[in-house]
Amino acid sequence: MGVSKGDEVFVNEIKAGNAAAFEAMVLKYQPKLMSSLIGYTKSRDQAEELCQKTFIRVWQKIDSFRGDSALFTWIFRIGINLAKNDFASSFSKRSKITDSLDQNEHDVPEYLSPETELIAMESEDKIMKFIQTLDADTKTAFTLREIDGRTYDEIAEILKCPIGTVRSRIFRARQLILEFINQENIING
Amino acid sequence: MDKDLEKLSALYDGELSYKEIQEGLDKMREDQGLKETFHKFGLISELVQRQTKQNTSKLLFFKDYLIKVNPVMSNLFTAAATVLITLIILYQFDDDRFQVDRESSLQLSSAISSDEAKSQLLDAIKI
Repeated sequence: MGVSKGDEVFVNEIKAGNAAAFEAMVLKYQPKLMSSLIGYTKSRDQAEELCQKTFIRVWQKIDSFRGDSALFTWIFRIGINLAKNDFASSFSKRSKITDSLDQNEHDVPEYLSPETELIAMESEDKIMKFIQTLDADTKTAFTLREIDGRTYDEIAEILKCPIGTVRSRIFRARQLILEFINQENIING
Repeated sequence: MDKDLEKLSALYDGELSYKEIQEGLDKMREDQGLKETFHKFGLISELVQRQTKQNTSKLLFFKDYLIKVNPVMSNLFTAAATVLITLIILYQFDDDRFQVDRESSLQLSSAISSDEAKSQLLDAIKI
């Protein structure tokens, strides 16, 4: 699977030096990368450090991204390679990696907060149960997008409805989930 | 406001035109609230995808487990099913057979004891 239409625009903008596009990409993929790195390292602190290093690398190496794979796959590969280096390398080697990243750190747009929000694990079931309570049309559109990764065009075709309806149903689902999260106060730092 | 957020949701999904993406990024740059919402879309997405993956993994694990224990389970189920089907078929046939016999014997005895049969018998003796 290659890069999606939306990510392609992000990548082109980042290559052109658009810091806002880079920030948006980080905001979009940071939760997924953090979750994957926590799974890999079994340590939140280590995952946070690696997450930051990864996005710094992404900023530095974005020109080498050819779009053969999905953007997140490429980001994730960088993260895993950095994690492997961290595990395998001697202390001196690790220092080298950190140093080489630090040397270029001033070039990276200021965006990265060391605190990474994650949804509290004990609240995950609550949210999943809440999603089940969404009305069928909203839930179907949301699920086709988030789980099946379908485009709005494909969802409109499947549900036999206009693309604008798909867009508003997906937004409605997200809005309701966000309201639920805020109401239950279930995002922690 | 909702229209802006709806656009932000479409921006998250990469479903805007190039111009709209530019506008969306500009708005995000100026508005911390939009950034936070955009990030929360990411959190929701991560959660939903991970939970789905975990549930799928559990099902796959169960499937693998069943495949591993399949020889035993399969033999037990096959034996039980065979015995059950045999019993049902046998009972059905026996039941049918008993019903037919019972009916035949009733018909036979009623025919023997009927007036018509008696008169035919008397006629035969007379001859």
